[in-house]
Amino acid sequence: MHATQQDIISILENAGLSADVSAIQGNTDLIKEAGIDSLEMMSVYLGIEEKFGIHIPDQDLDRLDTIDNIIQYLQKLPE
Amino acid sequence: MIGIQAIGTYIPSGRIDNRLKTAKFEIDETFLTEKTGALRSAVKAEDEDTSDLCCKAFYDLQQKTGLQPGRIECAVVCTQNPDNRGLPHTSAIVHGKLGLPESCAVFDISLGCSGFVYGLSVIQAFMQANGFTTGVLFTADPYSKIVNPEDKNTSLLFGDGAAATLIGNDPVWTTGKFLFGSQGKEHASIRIGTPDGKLEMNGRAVFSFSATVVPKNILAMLESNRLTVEDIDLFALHQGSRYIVDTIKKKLAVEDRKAPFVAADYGNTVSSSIPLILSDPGNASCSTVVIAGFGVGLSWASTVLFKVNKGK
Repeated sequence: MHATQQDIISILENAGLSADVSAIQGNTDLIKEAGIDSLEMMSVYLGIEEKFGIHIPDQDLDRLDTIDNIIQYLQKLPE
Repeated sequence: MIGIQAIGTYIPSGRIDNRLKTAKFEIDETFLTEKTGALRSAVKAEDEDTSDLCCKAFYDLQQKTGLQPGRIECAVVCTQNPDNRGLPHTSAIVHGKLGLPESCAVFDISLGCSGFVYGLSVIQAFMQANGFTTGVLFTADPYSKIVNPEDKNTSLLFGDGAAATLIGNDPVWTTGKFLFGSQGKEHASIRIGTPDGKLEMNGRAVFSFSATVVPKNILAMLESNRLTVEDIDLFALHQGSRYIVDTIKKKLAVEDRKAPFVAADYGNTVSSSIPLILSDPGNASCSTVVIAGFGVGLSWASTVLFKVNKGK
């Protein structure tokens, strides 16, 4: 499944985060470094699911900790 | 024409200060203020049972209306935390404690956070089918019975409270068309899940459901009533958490003041959260109000309330 950095940034921008999205780089840890809390991350996960029409199992969430890792995760999913 | 005539409420005086749990759960106070929303959780006294909460809400209703128990033709209790594990039904215990007449029909409804909206439809239909003009819908679901204080997912959210809503033929608000829904396949998202009978909640599943299904349900309900978001004075949304209320509000593009979060001092009171909003005197002048309940089941329901013009 193809996903770009801009796709993920748009999702972060639309998630109503208290963090400054413009300061988040591809390898910034979304929780530990960007300071996105657990409830806001639920909005991020939901944004990804809605954008790409997928369901992310709970056991995969730990892998979605940076923009780069989210893109990598999505790329491994079938189109 | 019957509808909501008055609402009595009861919030126990006991409180748990959730700010004292921030270190244990590795969160800061901003998380409580802006996300979960409940700075304090109301908690009933050890010797108060669910039926007692109902009775105390009823006494408040009596103070407001002078309602005599002998006039009540039916009483419905909505709870999933009944007295004595539900046998006998809590409404029977309330019937006895309040001295309601033998001719009064009573029964319980088992629903969680959607319970007030469902209950309103059920009691009105029951009253209309039987020609009744005076009924009371009780909501009382003291989650302090089942919340594990060590569970971060639930112990910062819920509080105890109750409401007694008088349904009568001199209403303040009448109801429009209702719209209901259920996702039984997701029933495990909020349940009694531990061997010692404590609550478990998959917060992410409940959030995703609330953020996606509920706004669509409200919009479809409004359309069925030939209304739009702009026509509504107040959105009395179930107070699951501040973050859920804020998320639904954003999805509906509703102004902040029209969809308040009011439970900071007592928490999520389950099926009583909506009547607690409606009973606020500051909302008495609202002429068109959306009520939307959603949660355990997963279950959801919404309708619109229309203020009755009393010609005053």
